[in-house]
Amino acid sequence: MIAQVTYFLTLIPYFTKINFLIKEFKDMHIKVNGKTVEIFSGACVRDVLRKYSQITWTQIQKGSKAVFDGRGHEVGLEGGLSEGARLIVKRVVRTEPQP
Amino acid sequence: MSARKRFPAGSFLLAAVLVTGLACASCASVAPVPAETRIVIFHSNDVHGKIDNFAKVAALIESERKNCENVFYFCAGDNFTGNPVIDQYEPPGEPVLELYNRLGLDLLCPGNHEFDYGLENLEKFVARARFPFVCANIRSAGAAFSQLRPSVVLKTKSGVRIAVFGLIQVEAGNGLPSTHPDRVKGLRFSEPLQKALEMKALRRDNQVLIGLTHLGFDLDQKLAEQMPELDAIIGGHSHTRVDPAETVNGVLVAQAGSDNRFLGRVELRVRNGRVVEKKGGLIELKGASEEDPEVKAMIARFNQNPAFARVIAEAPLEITGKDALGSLMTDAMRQAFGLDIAFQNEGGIRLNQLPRRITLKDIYTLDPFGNPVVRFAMTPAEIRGLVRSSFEKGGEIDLQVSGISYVVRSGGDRQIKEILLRHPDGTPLAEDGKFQVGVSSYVASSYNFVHADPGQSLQSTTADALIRYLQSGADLGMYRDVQRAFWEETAQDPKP
Repeated sequence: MIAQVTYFLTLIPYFTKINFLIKEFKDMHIKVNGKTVEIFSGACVRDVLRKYSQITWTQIQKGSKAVFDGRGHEVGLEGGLSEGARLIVKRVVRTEPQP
Repeated sequence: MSARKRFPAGSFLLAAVLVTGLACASCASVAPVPAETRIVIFHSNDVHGKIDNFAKVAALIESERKNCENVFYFCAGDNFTGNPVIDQYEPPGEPVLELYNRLGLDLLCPGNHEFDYGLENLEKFVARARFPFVCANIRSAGAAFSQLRPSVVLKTKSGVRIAVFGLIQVEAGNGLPSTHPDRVKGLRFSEPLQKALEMKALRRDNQVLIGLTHLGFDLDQKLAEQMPELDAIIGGHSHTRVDPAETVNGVLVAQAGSDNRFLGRVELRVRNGRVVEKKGGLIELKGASEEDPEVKAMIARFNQNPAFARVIAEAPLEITGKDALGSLMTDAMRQAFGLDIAFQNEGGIRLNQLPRRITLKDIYTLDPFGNPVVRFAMTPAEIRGLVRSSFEKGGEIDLQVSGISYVVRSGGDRQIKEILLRHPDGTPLAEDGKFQVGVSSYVASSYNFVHADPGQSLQSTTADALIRYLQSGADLGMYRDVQRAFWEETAQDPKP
């Protein structure tokens, strides 16, 4: 009986609006310099920046710009992101490109 | 005579001697608790197979051990994926395991990439590790990953108890860590911040409480906000260079960047059963000069991975040209992930020919970018939009394809007039159909195309797909004269 109820409960999201909401959460919204970038689920910093601006992405690859989080800490380009994260791209002076 | 017994003065003296003697015996069996205990915790995260700096890490930890009796070394996850030398080792990831065993790692919280070689491999890895794995929000549905513990208590030489619990990130969409779902079958994951609340109980019996997390710096801050009972959070996942460590709601939050470029160092001072002082920062390994010679020799040995020269497939002829190589790469993506259609941009094909005897080195030269595959559910109209976007980038065919063929018809000015999509048997795609389409994360993020499905990273690279395809014994003879993407240019329209 308990197993049947549990199984039924697991089906609820698939037949109600809850599933719709889950699907809505599949994409991620990341703010880069104040602009929202909508990107696929599981994207990393590098993916977001490529979508944000190809020019900026090239500058980052060359090392003339770097990426920081909302609190000013530098982040790596392969870094994982969560929904609503904020990134700031800034000009920097460095001798080697960002990893 | 009084009923009270009179004790001679000598008896008092004897008693005093006995009591003192007992007290001294007690002193000998239990070490006196020092007024203050200093604890140093080194930490790494998101190493991603970059092992070269471990000789410096070993020397730094050893040097600290000479000055402090309570030195620990933690890892906050994601040791695999990012260095083919390590990824293709037999067994995968072995160098990282041997190095951590040699360095005396005390604890590891798995990250999403710890699952990249599959659960079976991870279990073998854990079985040979001389350190425990901690994670509170992973639950085994059966026997899988049974070695995992939610928390561990470490003790200093003076008896201070340090409770450490682990947490791993899960994606909002599927509630799983960012890895391919097939790799975590048999495990259940719960929401990490919710699970953390259950760990508050650890505070009662322990003088120090630490979260060793793979959540990312944003979530680590939220964890600190909701759980001031914590003394420190040592994190990973977002590759954040936190230097010095931040204090959020009284909790020290630390993270050491990525790729083994930094070694994190947290120092705690415990007095009267509680942490009275804490600080953290990073040591940039580029600037460290001391290296452990034994560890350096191990790293040199690992970097000579013989697997790279191993032939993984033999083709009847060389596979030559972007059409053939692109077809091979997209067939591999399609087979690896059960997709209907796969695309590969020509800029991502970095060789013009694969030799007949194909080695791992050839694959990583052909496809060196480490881009994961991203899957979209797309309509034919959306697929045309992707093809259009690719063609307009350079005014010529750019995307190689598997699962369909396509024709771009343009005028002499390269303005697209029509894009035809066909099944391999030549029939057109049903316009009301939806197809599972795979592209690299580069195409997914750099190409400008409309798609209702936001997409999902499959957390496995295009190169991995190709290696699996070649190792599966695919018929490589079919790539001799293959072409699936066509451009038909009609004469310039006569000017009115």
